[in-house]
Amino acid sequence: MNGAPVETLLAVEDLCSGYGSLQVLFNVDLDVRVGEVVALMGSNGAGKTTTLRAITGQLRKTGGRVRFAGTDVTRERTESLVARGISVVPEGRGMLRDLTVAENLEMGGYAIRDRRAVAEATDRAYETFPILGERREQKAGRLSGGQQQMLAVARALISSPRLLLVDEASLGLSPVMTETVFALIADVRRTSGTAVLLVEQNAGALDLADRAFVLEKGQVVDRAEGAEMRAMQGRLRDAYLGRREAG
Amino acid sequence: MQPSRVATMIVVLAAIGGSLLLGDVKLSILVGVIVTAIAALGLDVLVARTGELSLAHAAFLGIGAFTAINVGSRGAPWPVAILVAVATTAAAATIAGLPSLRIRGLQVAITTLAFQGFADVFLFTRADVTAAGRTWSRPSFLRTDVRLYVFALTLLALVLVVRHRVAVTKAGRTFLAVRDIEDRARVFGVEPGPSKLLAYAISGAIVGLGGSLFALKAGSISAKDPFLLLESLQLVAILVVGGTGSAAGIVTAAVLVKGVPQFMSTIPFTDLKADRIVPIGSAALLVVAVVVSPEGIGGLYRAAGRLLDRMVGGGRRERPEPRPRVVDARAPGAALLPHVDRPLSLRMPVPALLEADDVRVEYGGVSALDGVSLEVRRGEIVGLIGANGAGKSTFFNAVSGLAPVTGSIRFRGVELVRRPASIRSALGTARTFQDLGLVRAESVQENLLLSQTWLARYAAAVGIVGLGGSVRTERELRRRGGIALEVFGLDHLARERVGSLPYGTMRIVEIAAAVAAGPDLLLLDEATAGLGPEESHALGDRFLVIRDELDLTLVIVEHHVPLVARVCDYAYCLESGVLIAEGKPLDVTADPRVVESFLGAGAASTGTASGGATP
Repeated sequence: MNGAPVETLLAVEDLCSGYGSLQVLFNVDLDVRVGEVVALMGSNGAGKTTTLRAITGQLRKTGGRVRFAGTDVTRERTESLVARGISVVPEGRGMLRDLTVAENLEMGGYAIRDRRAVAEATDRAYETFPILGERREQKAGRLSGGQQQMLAVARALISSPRLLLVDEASLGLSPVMTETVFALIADVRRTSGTAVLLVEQNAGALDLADRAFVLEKGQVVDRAEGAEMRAMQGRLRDAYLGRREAG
Repeated sequence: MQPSRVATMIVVLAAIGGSLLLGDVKLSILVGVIVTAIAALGLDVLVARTGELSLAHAAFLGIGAFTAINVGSRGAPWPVAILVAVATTAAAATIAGLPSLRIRGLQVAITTLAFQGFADVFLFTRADVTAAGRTWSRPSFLRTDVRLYVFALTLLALVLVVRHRVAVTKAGRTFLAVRDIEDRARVFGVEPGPSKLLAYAISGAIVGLGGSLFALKAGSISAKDPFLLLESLQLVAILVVGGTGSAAGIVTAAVLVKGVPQFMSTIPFTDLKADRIVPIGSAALLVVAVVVSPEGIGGLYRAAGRLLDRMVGGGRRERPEPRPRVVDARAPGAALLPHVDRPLSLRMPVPALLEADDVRVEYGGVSALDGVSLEVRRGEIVGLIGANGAGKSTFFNAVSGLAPVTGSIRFRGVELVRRPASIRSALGTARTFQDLGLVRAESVQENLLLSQTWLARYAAAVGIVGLGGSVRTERELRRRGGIALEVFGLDHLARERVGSLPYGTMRIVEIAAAVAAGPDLLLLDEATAGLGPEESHALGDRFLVIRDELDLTLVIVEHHVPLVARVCDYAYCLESGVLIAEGKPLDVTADPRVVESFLGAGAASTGTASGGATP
């Protein structure tokens, strides 16, 4: 990647946002290039979710610009961003609890005209997560937390997005399931070229990412790519993520 | 004092002072406006706090008014007439609210509509009900219009006090909990059914007071219009225009909808008649209000108040760092959290605090737990691990009474199965939920009071009038809540709305709330989800501290294996509703079957699988 403008899928510049009179984000700069996985790391309360919500227009931006595929989308609404190819896996999963698994997946393809593509994507989802296939007629509210997380990821992929924003995919997942979801995300990028912005506290996300940004108190305090990623893992572990859990 | 409060007081006093200078006709109109305002405020208790909509509040107003005249005209002293009217209306509203025990939302609204229809056709057409031909003459001290107006203002003030008391005692708290977290509220000791009926009763009582005022003003009633369906709908409209939950907004809306059109008709040379203007005017207001301010007039007031505070008070509100503070590992506050006396003493010689024997849970033919037997000894921290969907949360639901169980679960030797969920907190269990069992719209402090509902041993209705030791109890609950927050380094967040906190912090607030309830057994469902490694580690320390200092026993559902290994004395691993391994944590996590179903191959090779810092 040579960083030419066309290569940049999502560019966030000087983003400021917050809740009411409370400012949470202070001039956040980050970007995602076509087909890459970017990790946005940060601890509980660093402003990760706020960043996602501001990018997707669910939260008012008080400053800065957001460009997607070269178009200024700073003032665009969530729905039109979805139509442009941004798909979100929200924190807390955003299940439609009273709908079945199959209906939830259908909702993920709501904006897509091509029914056959949706059907194929749905089959692929059942293949990847067999348990969702087994329970396709069960209400989403009846799934365990981990299964709901699977469903949320699967649902976001149904629309074959160009950019997938994932808010703490590993939340509430067992280690083996976290690996599975990360592997799935890597797979998605490899097969469909979908770029992914992973918002995570789980350092496992760094293994998957091409580049990473670290957020602290609403500001980007660290960034790395390529060969620097190893060093960043060390930095995160030592300085930022704190001491390592004793086994 | 905040500038907005000062401004509010000045405006209210000026309005009251100014209104007293009006002529008799206008004062009489204002009394009518106050009747409507009281009825709307009563309806609002129901709508804002329980989320249920009633379309029968005009009928309740009629029941109150007619009862007052029936009793008063037979020579009863005026306070007796009012009390009987209030009680009768409360009873009628409670009866109308009975369907809400089985159904919710729109369906309840429709059943209240049926009640209104019943009243229109069968009650208000009967001469004995409507006190036809009878007159209740005002007591001598209310003969003049000014005096009646002052009396009406006093009743309005009384209603505002009652609303405030509802909000700060057990009653209001449990209403919100039933509205927002339904069944989960039962683990705090909340009983949803009685709580809902109490909301209807309080709402009815307030409307009954409004009806009494109506009767006092009118003396005798021949026209039934003020108590028919259209009027019920108008009360709902007033809530929408005024903004549910905002007393100031609702009173203003009552003035606009009821008062302004009537004042206009008193102006000479205008041909506008109240009966024409009211529907058109309120319809227009409704549309404008909803478009301009979805939160109604109350929303505009709040925005104005914030603006004023910012301009006069200077600068922005300082919000504290929304994360838990790192606190001393020994948690100085913990020892101060008084132990709760229970009917059953822990000194009872039981081998295990919790014994589950062949526990089975089925949901619609699918087996979620299939014969699980395990035990938790007093003072242990027990880890419950397993793949997603293995049945860990279902096991917690079984213990806390939120799942249909066969088999046996004994806690301190007492069989729990078939005991209602709402008494299990009193027996000594508390828990957290994987996806949060708190009222997000309320403050941290409110939620810590809610979790102690079983400790608020005064009757909710008695608490509203401040009796039954409710004031002392509330003070004690506040103190306990404060200590629990300190233990987890959250005391600086007491006034923040739970929903505004970062996800991981919400989870810790929930643990603090569970601890405040003074349990012996604490069930924590994925406590560290949403926390980074450092915070997870600190929380692990906290588990050890509360175990030792508060004499707690913990069962933790946890995906973060290093944490399980560090703090747990014993661990169980579930898969597809069956236990596949148990023992010392390190032995369990080394078990090949556990590795396969839970940890994954990558984790096995490094031996330190975790949801955290492992690169």
